[in-house]
Amino acid sequence: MENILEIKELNKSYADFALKDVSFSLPRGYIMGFVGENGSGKTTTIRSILNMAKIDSGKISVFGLDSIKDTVAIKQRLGVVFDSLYLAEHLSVRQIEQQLMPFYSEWDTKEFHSKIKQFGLPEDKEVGSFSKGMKMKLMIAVALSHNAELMILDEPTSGLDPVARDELLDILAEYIEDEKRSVLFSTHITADVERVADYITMLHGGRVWFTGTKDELDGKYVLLKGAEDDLPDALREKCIGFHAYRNGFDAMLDTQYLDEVPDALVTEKANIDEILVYIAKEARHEKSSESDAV
Amino acid sequence: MKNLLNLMRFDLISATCSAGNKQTAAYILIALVFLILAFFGMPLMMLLLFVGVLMLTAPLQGIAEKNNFNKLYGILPVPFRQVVQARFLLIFLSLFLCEIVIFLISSLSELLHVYRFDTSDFVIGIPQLLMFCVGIFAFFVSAMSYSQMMLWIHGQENEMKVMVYTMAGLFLTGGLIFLLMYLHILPSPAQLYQMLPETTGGKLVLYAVLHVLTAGICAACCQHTVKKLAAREL
Repeated sequence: MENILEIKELNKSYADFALKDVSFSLPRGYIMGFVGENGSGKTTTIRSILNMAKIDSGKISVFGLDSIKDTVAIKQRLGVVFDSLYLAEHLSVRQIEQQLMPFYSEWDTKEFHSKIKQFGLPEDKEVGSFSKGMKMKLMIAVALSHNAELMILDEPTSGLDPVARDELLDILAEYIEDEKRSVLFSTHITADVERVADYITMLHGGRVWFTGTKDELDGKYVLLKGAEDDLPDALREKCIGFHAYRNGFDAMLDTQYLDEVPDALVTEKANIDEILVYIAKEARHEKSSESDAV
Repeated sequence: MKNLLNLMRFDLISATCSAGNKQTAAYILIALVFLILAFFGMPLMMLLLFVGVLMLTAPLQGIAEKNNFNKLYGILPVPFRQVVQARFLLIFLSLFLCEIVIFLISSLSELLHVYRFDTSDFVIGIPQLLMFCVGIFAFFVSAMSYSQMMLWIHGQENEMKVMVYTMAGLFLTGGLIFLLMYLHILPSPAQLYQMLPETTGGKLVLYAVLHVLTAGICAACCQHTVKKLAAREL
């Protein structure tokens, strides 16, 4: 299976945040949901792919090309949607097309206007007056009109109403139908990932917590609940985000340790939201243990 | 070169167009007012016309500031250095075009003996007008290139407020130079003209050299900016 995007041991540090050895790959023809809480490094990773952030070390390949050396060639084949409109808000759709068209060798005016019509966007109105959903659709129309093979979306669904979100996800699903194109979209709305993503990469604190197919993640963790006394010490060590309260405890557990779980404890499948929550709890726990040790 | 032209086109559409075309109409009106003023032959009006062209760059900063174009520059299939180069090229070309237009208009005004205020020792005849236009061109291109360079280096290239202050500073400096010339504290254009080579050929060579020198200053500022911004993140 050909990878349309490959990131190997990406490191990038700022004064207060760092990406550490981020590695994952996205095969052609699939959608990858890129999830993590706010500040986990999703946007920095996307900016690194786009060469908007200068990486400290590691390698990023898009279409088999180097993201730094071949950045211009890559961007010819890349569509990008940010959470806010990056186009001139005082211009109309037509004027924006006039601005962007000359930069793309494969710009297709017919396709652009057909998408604008399909998305129900007015052509002569200031794009700044569009709703958030309309702005998203405009950025997608731009991406589709230069025949982008990979679409990267940074938090495209945040702030959208359920109907607009649903439409957007349908557009993404349709986009990869020919199996030649891929989508990487970052989000913290995990329901969107559950709905359309084939692959998931989960970031936490600048590190990759999980990367793989949605099915792999689906069966990877369970929630563990019960009385604290029924939890063996050895198993407690393996728990993620352990939280004790007056009547018992809850935690997340890797399914590889399921055979160690006593019958008295209850297990249930963890969804993506829950996985994110327990990862965050674990990180907080580790942090407080470290400061206690100091 | 194609990318530079595309980027200049991009900037011009941003600066001069709006969804309702009201902005385009406003620009045409401003240009007409300045052209009419220049037609009446006052040197200060010529300065105003130059500033009018400089004003074209102000909306660019405002638009870029408002729209977060840095994100767009990070997405477009062009190297970022070309975005910088296009801004400098736009300054040079728009002021060069302005120089030609202002020379033609003021020469026409001179030929038609359109009424002017008493500026007899200030600008006399078409040859002095040409010198005057070249001088203003060289001053504004150099000053604008330098200020653009400083704005980019300090990350203020998209800040409308800073750009307006810069333009106001340039206008005041230009106005002060005119005033000092008018008061004969500095040599007037007529006196300056006497200092030029005697032959027409000599003068034209001097003007050509001045243009090349101005282009060199603009290119040097651009190159320095590109070098300084090599590690900038968008």
